[in-house]
Amino acid sequence: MPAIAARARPAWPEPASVSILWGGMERGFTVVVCRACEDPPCLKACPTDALRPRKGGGVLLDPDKCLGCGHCREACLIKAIFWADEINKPMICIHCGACSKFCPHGVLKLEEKEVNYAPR
Amino acid sequence: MLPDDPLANVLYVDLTKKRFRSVRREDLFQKYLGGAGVAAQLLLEECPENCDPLGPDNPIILAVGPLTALFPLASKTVAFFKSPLTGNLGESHCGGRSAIAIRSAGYGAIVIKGASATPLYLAIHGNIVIFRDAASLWGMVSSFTVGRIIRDNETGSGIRTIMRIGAGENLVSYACVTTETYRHFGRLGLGAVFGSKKLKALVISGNHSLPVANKKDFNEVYESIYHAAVTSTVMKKYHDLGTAENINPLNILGGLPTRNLKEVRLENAGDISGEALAEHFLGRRLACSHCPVGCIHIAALREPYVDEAYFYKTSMISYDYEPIYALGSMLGIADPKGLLKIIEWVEKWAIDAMSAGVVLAWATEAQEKGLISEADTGLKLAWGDYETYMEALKRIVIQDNDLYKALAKGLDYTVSRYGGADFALSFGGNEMPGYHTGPAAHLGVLIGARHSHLDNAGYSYDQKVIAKRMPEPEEMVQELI
Repeated sequence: MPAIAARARPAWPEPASVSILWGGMERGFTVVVCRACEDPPCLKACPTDALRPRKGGGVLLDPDKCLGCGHCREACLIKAIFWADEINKPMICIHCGACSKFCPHGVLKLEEKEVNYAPR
Repeated sequence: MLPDDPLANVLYVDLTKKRFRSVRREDLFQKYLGGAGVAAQLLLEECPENCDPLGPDNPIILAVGPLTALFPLASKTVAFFKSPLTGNLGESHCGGRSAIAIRSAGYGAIVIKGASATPLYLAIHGNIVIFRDAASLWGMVSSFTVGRIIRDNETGSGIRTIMRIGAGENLVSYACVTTETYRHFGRLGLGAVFGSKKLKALVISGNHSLPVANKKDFNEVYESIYHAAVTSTVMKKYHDLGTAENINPLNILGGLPTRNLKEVRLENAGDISGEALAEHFLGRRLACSHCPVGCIHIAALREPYVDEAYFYKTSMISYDYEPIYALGSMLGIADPKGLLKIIEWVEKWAIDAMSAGVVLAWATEAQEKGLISEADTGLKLAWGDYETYMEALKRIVIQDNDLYKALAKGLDYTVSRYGGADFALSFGGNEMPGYHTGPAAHLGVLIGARHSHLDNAGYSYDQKVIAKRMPEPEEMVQELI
């Protein structure tokens, strides 16, 4: 199964935080997913502290604090923050690994890593 | 269907008045089974008796079902319309991203009626519907390019599908609608219906999420279907070599229609078999949205420039059993590079590969028999000569004389003008599929509502049952209906 099929599963019944952003059927696709940056630009861009470091990598969103301003999305260079239009809030990858279960070629896989977040 | 499922939304679009409205039709989706059941009822409601297939009254109905986007494999859109090729039921199915995009846009069905006076394309982004001027796209030959331009001009978010026509502009009765470059509403001339409405393309996108009653149960059912699909041996032929796997066995069986079915085996068929194409040309395999099978096989064809050394172009060309039969064995073409070139040509013009091949095969035999002359064709059609066939296909699209005008209307019309019905391979006005496997294949296509091999898969019955024993006629008919 090519990477495109990975998109469909987590997208329903909810918007996804992994997607195929680049490419086409003629030349192939590239899957984009959160890389769990060590010093996450998205976290630094949040004006309401709705994002906090996640143990084991990545960031966690507190939807109650989030205003839906979209600064985190703009701060992400690899465009790994997607958007839930229906609630106007970002889709932040929680690194659950569900998508990797449906990727037969091992393009997506979940691994733990040590992170030392820069002090804020 | 849950009460808040957007599936029950039907979008009605009027191209004449440039108006649209969305209507909640739970009655339809509760009562009829799947997208095809709903589309059949919508056709009954929307298609007036005796309407002209190329007139404004003929509706284009696109529908998906309740499983679409929720579960794997339910990845196709069905189109219902009155066929300009047969004057009868037009039903055609298409994958790509079409079904998921319609569901994500928040609809279960889309009904397009009327006709625009000037070329336009329709952009449906969720509940926003925009009629866009397509004057600068009309007449553009390559469906690849049209897709690119629309992709760059439309900002809709979420899952997106782009459907467009080529030869449908010129009302070729078996013009197809192409989506996502390589998938099609292939059969029975939906492209011509688009063309008659001056509808160059249709882009649909959306971000709608779907309600689920119990998420834990949903995940369990999802995973069990997914794993059954990826481990099932039933899917293996689609997954590995693709439908092209059929070339060798059908050739051995004497079931591969060759040279207008004058023969049933093609010498060197091995060169255009699924095995040979995979070994020498297979460049990429793909899946439609939300289908784990991955049956789309794309060949990489590298060709040198004729005028300069060490300059090459590489084309990515999708192949399947039916185009290999219709544009390969049926035309006596066993040169895989020539075959891939003519498949790409047909893709570019957006014509049904099966009808196109069968029409050209008839024309070749008619020219051999002296029923039509070189004065009619302007070409010397000869089995295996793919370059001449490509020129003939272009002239079918352009329709620059009476013969090509007739060929563009399909075989039934052509033989009503020129004769040669005894070697015209069509059933109920639809050119034959690539199975000469036995009586069930031909009877099945004849009695099927749209004269398609997929109406009842008689070809499969031939291979599974009749290859071993001859059943009683009643038993065979029972299986087919």
